[in-house]
Order: sequence, then structure tokens, then C-alpha cells
Amino acid sequence: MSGVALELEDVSLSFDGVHALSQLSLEIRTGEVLGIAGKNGAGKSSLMKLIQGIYPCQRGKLRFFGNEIASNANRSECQKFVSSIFQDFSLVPEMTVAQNIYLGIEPRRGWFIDERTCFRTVESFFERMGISIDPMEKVKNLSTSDLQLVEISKAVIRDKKILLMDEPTAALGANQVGNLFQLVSRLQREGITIVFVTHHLRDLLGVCDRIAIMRDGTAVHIGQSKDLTVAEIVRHMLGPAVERLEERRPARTLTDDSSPILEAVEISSRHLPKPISFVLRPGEVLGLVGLKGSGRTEILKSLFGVDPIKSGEIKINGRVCPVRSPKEAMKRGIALIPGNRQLEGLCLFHSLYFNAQLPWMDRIKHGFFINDRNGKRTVSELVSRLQIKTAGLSTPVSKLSGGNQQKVVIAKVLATQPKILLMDDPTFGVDIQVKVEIAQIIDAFVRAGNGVILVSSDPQELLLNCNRILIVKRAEIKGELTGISSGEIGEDDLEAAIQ
Amino acid sequence: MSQRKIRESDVVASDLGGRRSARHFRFSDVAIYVAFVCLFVLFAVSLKDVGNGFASVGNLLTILQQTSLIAVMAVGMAFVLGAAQIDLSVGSTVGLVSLVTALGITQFGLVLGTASALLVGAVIGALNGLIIAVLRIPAFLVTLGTMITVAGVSRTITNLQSIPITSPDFIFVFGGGNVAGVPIVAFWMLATVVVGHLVLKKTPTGRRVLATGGNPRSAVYSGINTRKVIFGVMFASSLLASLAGILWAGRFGGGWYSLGDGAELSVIAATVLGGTSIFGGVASVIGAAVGAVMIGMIDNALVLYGLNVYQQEIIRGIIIVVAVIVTTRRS
Repeated sequence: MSGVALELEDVSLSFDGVHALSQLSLEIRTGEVLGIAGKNGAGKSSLMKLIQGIYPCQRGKLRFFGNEIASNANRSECQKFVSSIFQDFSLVPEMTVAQNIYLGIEPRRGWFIDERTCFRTVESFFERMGISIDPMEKVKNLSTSDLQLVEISKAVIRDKKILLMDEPTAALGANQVGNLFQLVSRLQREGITIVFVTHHLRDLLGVCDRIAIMRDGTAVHIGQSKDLTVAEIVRHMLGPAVERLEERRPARTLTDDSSPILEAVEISSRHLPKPISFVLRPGEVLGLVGLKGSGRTEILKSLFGVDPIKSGEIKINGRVCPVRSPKEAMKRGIALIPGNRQLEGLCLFHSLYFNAQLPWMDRIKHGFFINDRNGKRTVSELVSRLQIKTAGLSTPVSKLSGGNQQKVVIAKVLATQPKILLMDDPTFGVDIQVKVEIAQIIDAFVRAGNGVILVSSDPQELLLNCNRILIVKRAEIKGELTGISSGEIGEDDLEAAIQ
Repeated sequence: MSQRKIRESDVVASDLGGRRSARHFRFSDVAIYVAFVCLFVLFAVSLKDVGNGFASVGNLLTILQQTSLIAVMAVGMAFVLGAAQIDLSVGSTVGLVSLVTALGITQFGLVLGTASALLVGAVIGALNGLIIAVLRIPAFLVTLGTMITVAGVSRTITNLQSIPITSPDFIFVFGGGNVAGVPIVAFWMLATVVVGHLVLKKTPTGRRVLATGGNPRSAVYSGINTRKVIFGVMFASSLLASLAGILWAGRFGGGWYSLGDGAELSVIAATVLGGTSIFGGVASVIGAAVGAVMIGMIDNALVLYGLNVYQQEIIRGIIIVVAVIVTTRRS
């Protein structure tokens, strides 16, 4: 039990001169559960990809059970030892559990697959691990948490000694998390080494022996989890004196008694089982903070009519307005910048102009036909106002950078002249320059008396932009943070609040 | 003029002018026209001495007459494929519509007869559209089903008999008539293509179709009712198929169940040849019509080369596959 399963020695990794990992050293003992914590961009996923063999080890040494992996080694070198358990599972829905576990490595009897041996091995493994799944059940009939257990079993039966788990608890309820933790400790007793990566810090503390906290591509603190608390982990994640995007702007004048521009009264939808209420005032930026999957995106989708409300009311300027489709939402002045610009925001092979004019082309109709001259004038004004870098309006958006694609989405939405702007993680994957520009766009928008609801996975961004922040947990609003502009609330408060 | 205004107001997107088309030039966009010209020249030269020659006015008008009906349906198919759907039922719709036209004209007279034929197309289109858009069943399966059902109905209603149309007015307007030496069906084709092209490129409807086919989710987020769009394209396709059915009846001089048999494949081939993506989002009405004429041109040339029907099929199949490879490959 005391051997070293995985060893990283002074590992550095950089892409185009940007350091993803720098001089990271880490030792994981056989049979240990090591947790990894860190903000977005701290290097967690680079580390995962390095261990899986997706990224080569550019500098430093990577060893599995004492075997060094050469920098030019094939990915399969790593995959002999490591298996990763991700959100999207590699299971075939129409096959049984046992067939999936043995897919590609089926034991044979003569020419045929020895189904009995498969079944028996899986059954006895499940028994030993306390998993109550029928090996003959088709995978399509299993719940998400069962799928995860099958995926883990598949890896272990295939003799992988190291398991990487990326956000394994995100989609699970409290009971199921308990089951997973039980399995983890049984695997541990069998000598399986587990690397556990998650934003759910309480889960880390609950299951890990040690926790490595990453910042700027290296492990800034490694400690026994019994010696750590959520607050301490957050402190290590953020580091000393966090640099600000820019100076905090003075508080926007908001008279609290101004009547709300938008009011959600006890709304519920398919993905929001419990009724939710909140208000948005003119000139206000309301933040929604929560982990991925907490329900923050679902709130926006129900306000925009993508996932229409089933009960409750949406009031706009005090009047009850049904919002049953995005079309209706836009007619009432609500606009959404969707969370995934490539899937929901844009049609990539169409031109910038085509994408930008889509939601409001009826407005530039002249008789039967669209007056593209007017449309292009409006779009090119937006292009220069938002400083979108493009060769021209007919450039396919697939040719633009991520930040500029995001600005095209913003442009197409702003051109509908909304009063209420819902933004779902608008700065995800864009550089700091664009982040600042998007903050300026938000500023200009609310100064005109409009309202913004901002969802972000970056606490710094929420603090920078919001007047008020609601905490979303398990599809419920669990609290409200005010006093942001006065600096009473810090990033650490937010990180702690969402746990 | 608009470009000057944009230049004045905008530095970043300054080059909206002529260079933009060169910048995003793709060979596949114009491949159909290049192929058309090349084949035309090849046939014109090599078949110069056969009969009156391939490029004689008489022969070209024959080609036009034969391909107009496919072209009319290809206009509808450009919308259907553009919205990332497919319609396999257009061929059998032609057969049923031709019979209904013939029966309707004998029963109710010219106007009501023709109207009842269009009504049949509208019903088929509405059924296709409702099942695909509301029940969300894949278009391939739905229209495969309606194709077979409609073909069965045509064979049943007249017991495999053909029904003649005797009205000379009908034959003139929808079939064999000529205006200034040009077959009247070519005018029907021209009208369909012009309207189709304008709708696709210049109206919100056309852009909703391409947005729905290009990325249905982003279309929904842009406030587009994608179900309505899908219903619309299926409906339009059937309606154009019934116009083609009426024209077919006019050319044949009556209704018969086997008119239009298998035409769906020529229609889809012509549309894809013309630069419409089978995966949706990109469509060209003019390209589809040119594709239809090109297929007709190939058929005609193969006859002039003296190939028998089966040899023609072999060559035509190969040419279509090669042409589709050339026109749809994105480098």
C-alpha cells in the first residue's frame, strides 16, 4: 500500500508561450484518494489531460508505478494505467451492463463470446463493491448515478489502477453521493488509486485523504484533508491580494423603491421543480451565482421561454406577461445571451451578417423583402461599437475568434433592443480584454434604465458587474448578497456561499 | 451607395465591397455552373453530327421541356433540404395528382379540377409537415411512408387505368403549348424558380429556413418557430410536386399512376448537384434548377450517343455520383 502510483516531478506545460502547468510536483500513493481543487484556469484540466496522455509531458518527469513515460510516448502508454470517469459516459445504451464492461475484451469459448463468465465476474465484482445493478440490464435503462458506477466498474475490471474522476458528484443527489463515496473507499481498500477533481469542496473534504490546491499551474498547497476547511481551501485557491480586472466602479445609483422592471413570482418549470421568486429593478445588474448544474442557467431559460414556466407568473413592468417561447420573450423585451455560443448562439458556417440579423429581420422588411442595406448599416454600426474584429460582414462566424463570436451573439441580441438582458456566462473562454469590453457593454446597457441578469462562473466578474447577487443551489435561491460595491463581499465569500 | 455609407461609419468592417466574394470564394459554390458549361461544350462538339446536333434549338427546347417538371420540384426540395429535412413523397404525389387532375376535370370542369389536384398536394404536404414538426418523427421515415401510401392510393383509385384529359385549353396551358416557340412548361419553371429564389434569399421566410437547417437550436434562441418552418417547407414541397403533377398530366395528356415514379431521386440529385447541402443550412434555388436541366441534358446526350436504356442508367448514375462528389466536397 505504500508504493507510489503516480509521480510528477517538476512538470511544466505551455501552449503558445502561456503556461498551463509550471514546475508541478505531485506524488500520489497507491490506494490513496487525492483531491484536486482550483479555480477555472488554475491548471486542473491540463493536469488531467497530462495524466491521461492527451498532452505530452514537455518538461519534467511523469511516472506510473516507477515507469517513466517518455515525452514522445503514445497516449496508450498512460492509458494502460489510467482510466477517466467523465460526465459523458462511453457506454453503449442498447447493450447490457456486462456486455459494456467487456466490450472489446470479451472472453471467448471457441468462436463465441463466453457470456457466462462475463456475467459471473461482473456479478461477483458488484457484490464485493456493494453495487446493486443487474449485470443483464440494458444500459439505456439505468440512471445517471448507475451509469457512473458501471463506468467505474468497467475501468477496474479492465485492470486500471488509477481512476481520474472529473466532477463525479455534480449530477448526483445526496444519497447517490453517499453510494459513490462508499464505492470509492472499497476501491481504495483494493489498492485502486483515485484522483478526484471537483468544484464541490465539501465533497472533496468528505472523500479525499489529501487535497492538492492548484493555482497558476502549480500546486500551492498539499495537505491532509482532515487538517483543511472549505474556507482554507478557498483562501489557497484565490491566493493573496487578488488582482482586479479594473478598479471597482462607484455604486450605481439605485433607488430601492423603484418599481421592478421584471418580477418572477413563484415560477417553476420542468427543470426548476421548486417555485422561485425574485425581482429585477431598472438600472440593476442582478447576479446569479452557483455551481454548474445548480439551476442558474435553467432560471434564465425559463424567463426566456426556452423552458417555459409551468406555474407562477412573470411580470414585466408590473404587468403579468406570458412567456411561452423565445419569440414571445423577445417581443416583450427579454433577450438571452445563451451559455453555449456555438450550439445555441450562432450558426457557425453562416456569415456574421446572417447571424446578426436573424432575430430582428422582420423589422427591416420592405414589403415582402428584407432591406439588407438597412440591416447591414445597423450591423456594421454594432460591429464598430462592440469592436468586433472581422474581415467583413460576410465572413463566416466560424472564422472568428471565440471572443469575437461572443460579441456577434451580443450584437445580434442588442439589435433586438431589449429592456431586459439575460446573460449566461458571457465571458466564458474569452480573454481579459473582451471581459472588460463586455463589462462596458453591460454598463452602457443598464445606464439606459434597462436591467441585466448575469450568470457567471467567474466570481470576480460577478463582483465587478453586479449590484446584487442571488445564490443558487440545487435549483433554489438560497440567499442574497448585497453591499457588493462597498467591497464588503469578496471573492472568497462567493466561493464559500455556493458550496 | 450602401457600401459607401458603411465605409464612412465603420473602420473595422471596412471592406464590405467587391473583395468579400473573392475572399470566401469556394469552388464548390460554382462547380455546378462550371460542370454545366463543360458538359454542354462536350456534348455540343461530340454530338454535332447526330441528327440536328445536340446544340440545335429544337433539341435544347426538348431538353428544357423534359426537365422543367423536375426543376419545379427541385425548387421545393431546395427549401426542404435547406431546412435539414427530406421529402421522398414528391414522386408518388405527381402520380396521384395527375390522376386527380384528370378525374377532376372530367367531373367538375377545368378550374375546379385543377384546384382539387392542388388540394390533394396540400393534404399530403400538411400530413407530412404535421407528423414531422409536431410529432417530431424524422422526415425520411415519414415521407417514406407517405410515398408508399400515396403510390398505393394512385394504383387503387382507377385500378391501374390511365385517365385521358381531352380539354385542349388544359393541354395548352399546362402541357404541350408553346409561346413564341418556347414550351409553356418552361415558363412555369421560370416563374417557380424566380419566386423560389426571391423567397429564399430576400425574405425572412427564406432565412428562417436556412437558420433552422443550419443550427436549429440557435434558430430557436433567435426567436424562430422551427416547427412552423419545418411544416412550411414540407407543405411547399408537396404543393410544388402537385404543380409538377398537373404539368405532367398536361404533357402526358391525362393521369396515370406511374407518372413521376422515382422522380424524387432525380429531384434530390438535382438539388444537391446545385449546391444545396443535404445536411441543411445551405440552399440554392437557381442551382437546383440548373442541376435539373443538367441531368436532363445528360439523359438527352446519352440517347443521342445511341446507348440503350440500361446503359444510360449506368452512365447517368456514375455521372451523378461524380458530380455530387465535386460539388459537395468542402476543402
